[in-house]
Amino acid sequence: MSASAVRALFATLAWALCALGCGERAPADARAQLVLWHSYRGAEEAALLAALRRFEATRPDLRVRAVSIPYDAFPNKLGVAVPRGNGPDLFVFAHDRVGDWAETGIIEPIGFWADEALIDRFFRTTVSPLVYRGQLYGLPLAFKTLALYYDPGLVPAPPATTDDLVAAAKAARAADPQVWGLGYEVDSLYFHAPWLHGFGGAVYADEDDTVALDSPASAASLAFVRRLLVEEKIIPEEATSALVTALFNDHHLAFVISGPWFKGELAGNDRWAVAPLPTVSETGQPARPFLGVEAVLMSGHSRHKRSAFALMTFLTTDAEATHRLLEGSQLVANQAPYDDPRAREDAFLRAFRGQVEHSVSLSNRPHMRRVWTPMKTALSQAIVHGQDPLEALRDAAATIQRATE
Amino acid sequence: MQTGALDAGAPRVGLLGPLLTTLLAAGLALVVFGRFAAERADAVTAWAAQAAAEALARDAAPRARVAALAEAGDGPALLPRVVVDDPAPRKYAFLRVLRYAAHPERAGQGLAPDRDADKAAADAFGRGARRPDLRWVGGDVARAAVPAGPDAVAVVDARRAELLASPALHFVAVLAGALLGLLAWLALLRRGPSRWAAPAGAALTGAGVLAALWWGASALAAATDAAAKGLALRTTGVPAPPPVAAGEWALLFAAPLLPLVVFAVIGAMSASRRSPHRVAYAYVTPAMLGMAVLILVPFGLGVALAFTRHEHGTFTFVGLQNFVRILKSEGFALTHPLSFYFTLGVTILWTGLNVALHAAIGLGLALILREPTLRLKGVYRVLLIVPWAVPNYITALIWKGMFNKQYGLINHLLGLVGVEPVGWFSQFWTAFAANVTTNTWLGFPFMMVVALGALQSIPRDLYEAADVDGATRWQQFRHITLPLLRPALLPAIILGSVWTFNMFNIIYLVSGGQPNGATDILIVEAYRWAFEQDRYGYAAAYSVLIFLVLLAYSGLTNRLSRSAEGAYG
Amino acid sequence: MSGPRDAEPKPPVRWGTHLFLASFAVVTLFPVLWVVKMAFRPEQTFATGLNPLPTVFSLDNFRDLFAAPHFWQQMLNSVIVAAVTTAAGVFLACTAAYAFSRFRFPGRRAGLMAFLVTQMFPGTMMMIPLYHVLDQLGLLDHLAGLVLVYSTTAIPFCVFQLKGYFDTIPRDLEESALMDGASQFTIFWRIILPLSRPAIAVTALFSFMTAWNEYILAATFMSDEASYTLPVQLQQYVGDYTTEWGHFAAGALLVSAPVMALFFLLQRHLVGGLTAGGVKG
Repeated sequence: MSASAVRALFATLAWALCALGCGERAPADARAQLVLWHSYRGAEEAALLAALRRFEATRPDLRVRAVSIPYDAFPNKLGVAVPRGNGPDLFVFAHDRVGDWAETGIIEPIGFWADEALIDRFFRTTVSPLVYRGQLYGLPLAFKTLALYYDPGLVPAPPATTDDLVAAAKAARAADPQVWGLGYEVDSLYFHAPWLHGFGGAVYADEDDTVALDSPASAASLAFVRRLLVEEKIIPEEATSALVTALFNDHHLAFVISGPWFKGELAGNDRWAVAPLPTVSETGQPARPFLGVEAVLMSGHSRHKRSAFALMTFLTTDAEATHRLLEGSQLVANQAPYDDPRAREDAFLRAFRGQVEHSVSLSNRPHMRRVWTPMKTALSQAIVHGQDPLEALRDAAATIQRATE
Repeated sequence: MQTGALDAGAPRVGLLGPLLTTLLAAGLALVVFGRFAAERADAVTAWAAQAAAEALARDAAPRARVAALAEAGDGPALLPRVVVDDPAPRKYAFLRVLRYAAHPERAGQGLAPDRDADKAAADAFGRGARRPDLRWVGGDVARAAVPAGPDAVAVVDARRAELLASPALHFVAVLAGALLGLLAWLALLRRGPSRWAAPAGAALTGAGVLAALWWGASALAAATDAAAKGLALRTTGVPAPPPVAAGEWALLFAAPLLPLVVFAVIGAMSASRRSPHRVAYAYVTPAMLGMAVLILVPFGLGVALAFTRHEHGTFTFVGLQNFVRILKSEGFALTHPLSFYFTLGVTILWTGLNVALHAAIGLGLALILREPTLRLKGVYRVLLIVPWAVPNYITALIWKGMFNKQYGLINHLLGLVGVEPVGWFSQFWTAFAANVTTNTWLGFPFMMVVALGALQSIPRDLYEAADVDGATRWQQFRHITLPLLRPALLPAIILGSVWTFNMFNIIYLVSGGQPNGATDILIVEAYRWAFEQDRYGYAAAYSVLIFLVLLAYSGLTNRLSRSAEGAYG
Repeated sequence: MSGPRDAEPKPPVRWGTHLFLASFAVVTLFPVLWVVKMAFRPEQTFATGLNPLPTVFSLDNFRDLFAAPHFWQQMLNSVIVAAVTTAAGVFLACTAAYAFSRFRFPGRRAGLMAFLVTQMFPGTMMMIPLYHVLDQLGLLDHLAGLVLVYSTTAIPFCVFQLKGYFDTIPRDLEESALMDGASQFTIFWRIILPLSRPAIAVTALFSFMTAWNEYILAATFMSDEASYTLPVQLQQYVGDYTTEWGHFAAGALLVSAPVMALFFLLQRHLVGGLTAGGVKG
């Protein structure tokens, strides 16, 4: 290639760069455009896009553009884009960062437009995760919580109490030594939470920042799981989610504690069922897992807030929620769709709907994010390595407290 | 070393570099000014609305003026529309929104209205507690609201100012700057009649470039401010608040050009003694320009973060507190896995072991694969590069699965030779070994490729002469291959060790820091502080410490490179 | 000129070498077999178990991948970004490395150190400031922004590698050419560059890989699905609780194929250089 050709090439490249830079101001459309970010895939994404097209039909003056963002890049992207005005008008995401976002102005309080009638259509426990310092910040689309999956071929009926669970698991294991009893990640606080709350423990004492993990009730929950692992031997060691899925699909696992996403992993499996979590025999309390909410939130820097709110309300009407429930198999936060006869027949939906009553909202305050890693250490030390549970919890509480300073 | 003959720098030599640089600079200037103008328009609209609202709140007389303007549709695209609210539930609803923006800590009163808190918040808002996010309500309309007496709120909506009607203004500034830059380069590369012509020319044109930029930015700022002031005066009789300084914009754009100018000036000054330096600077500067803008500026911002404390979205300056806390290993014994020193030790061990293994395996394979008589060389090479080619997210998780205690392949293979199943992730050394194994598998292809290229630089006749002298293969390796490989292989080893030091993915995915954070390296700790604990300042301080450690390391390797350069004389 | 070095080694050595290489290749490829297994079976679960060999051969995952909206656009984006990064990285690095190697000018050591030092900044901490800078430049959501960032990431290594390689080329080649009346640029273009083909091949491959596989910056800076690159599309399959491993594995194979092809093309340049030309010209 001759030198002059090379020069010409680079001159073109450089001008192309300039042109690219100038081209950022697109001509305005007569219709206002709303931008919605989400991280849905597959059937859920298709259901969302269909809902947006239906919305556009009711509002000819608006266009909605949906952009799919990978899940792990989502919070960072929001954090950098929204304050600079480059973010969406609405986005759909889990609720756990509502506290952070409210403090930094990334989300808009919608109390200005919302009223009690609007809120009444949802389960109350799905609305409170979206309230921060007395303000409502979004509308819930769906909830996620944990329930008990079991293999009907290994276990005839779902257990009502933990003693029943242990007995059934041991029986299954006795019948076939290759079979394990209960599979879930024992060192994850999210999966341990049902037992923690079932035994009467809690992470934080009410709404303030005092860590309440180092209580005898919490320690009892850790001791319980250690018993299951070491004495009753019904939990496999180093149970990762991939392993649990593989074992359950091979019918070598009687019980799994997991959420609605687990159904997607059971594509080829025709022998599974789901039931609400049992009651803890020692205390008589139901095992209460964390409840997470997937919500539609409005950006604080949006330039079309009124229209964005209209879209939010449309997406959460009972009619739309029924679509999502029946077609997308999404656990919607609206109450009415579950009374639909088709929904009532579905055991999967019934089980999770039952679990909503017995769940604890995952706190949306920034202090919650500091808890996971120290608790992972505490659970691992106490359950797997046999450290005294109360000591392990005290260490974790100290680490969390220190991080707050 | 440089003979006089190399002075024959034909003009053709350096045109490509400076042309490219100038065009790039022009392009960058264009996009910067475009952005600048857009942000100015936003700011001006908001100020105009605020000024109008404040005036209305003080005095009812402008109300008529503004209303008349609104009726007539007067003014450049900046059309205030006034609403003066009477006491009504609507006021509280709107003020509720204001309340949370201005004072989040007062927002704990639920959804019911609270008159006192509302008024206090509205006062604060009116006093200039700016939260730009609330000013955009619908379309291009900015809204400002201030209390206008005990029972009323003055709300002014202003439509966004289209102040980009004069792109010619900044385009001229940019073109002038670009032409001046081109002149600067030509002055550098052309030998003038007097030894002072070139340096003087370079200095003058450098100053000219900066001046052009400053002028362009200031002119644009002045134009937009004048428009805002004029409009505010016309509507309310009160001048707008003072604008944001244009200086910071010019500085941001000038900063990356500064190294350019410094190079130019130095080059020009030494032009009288050794003219090849001009050529050298011409060659080097395009690469340095990108570095300056895209690495030095973000790094500066990152370092600034290290001196702050992040809490609920606000950053407060805390001086060296973050560094002190990390270095004192606060709350942990020095040997505790979460202390800085333990993590530093683990990181150094991790880096050293990995680099040694990568280099040894890569070099060994390259030596085998370059035998001219080996058949299927190409096939082997392509197969051995696969670990580098496949995305490491999935392969790292596959390796993690292979190390599973009960169902993993590694334990299965060990079981075949009678070894008890090892809990790989429950003790430090085994988890560390799992990490190192995975990273070695991922990293040796890169070293192999580099070594293959490096081995080509050794002339074959050296080996043939050694054969004639009767040297063995091993002696040839030690005395010919290794020393002559150094200049070509050392960069990859040095840079490879820096990358391994900061290798986040593998540690996070394979061992996840197990057991209990022991196998975390410094970069993973920094990440946890930033994204799991929201302590951005702390994480930034960690990053600065990582950088300082690596800087010290580079001081060492500098000597190695110097001696390696000497290998070829 | 042939000597004892060029003679075919004895059969035991030859077979031994092949055996060693073949077993090393098998061990190297073993983990990748699981990727192949996951790509060719319709389930979306992660493959555990001891046997990595695929048992079903279904093209469903690949079909889904190709049918995804914008897939081909994203592939094109990746190709453009990687190609321009490679071109820019190699070209800019060549000239800079040549200057560092051949000229002794004030600021030379400092310049080299600067390149090394820029590699030491942890990338995760730079993301937010980098976003601000790109936003000021108006290059967000444009491929040009990505190209710029990737080039600056790739250039330091390229400069170092090329400089090291240029250092090994004896100066008398250039001096004799100069005495014959050639200009500086001609020497650089006609003599030095062809002799450095191995190093250029290495840096080209490296620049390509840097741009091709990068995910986090592309995901943060691009706001439109049509502007995404392939790794971002791939990461879409990683959800909050589950990952669609079948699709991800298929995508991983698709993403690796061009790299392997590029390496296959470039590897003939890895041999050559001084051994091909003559010193005594």
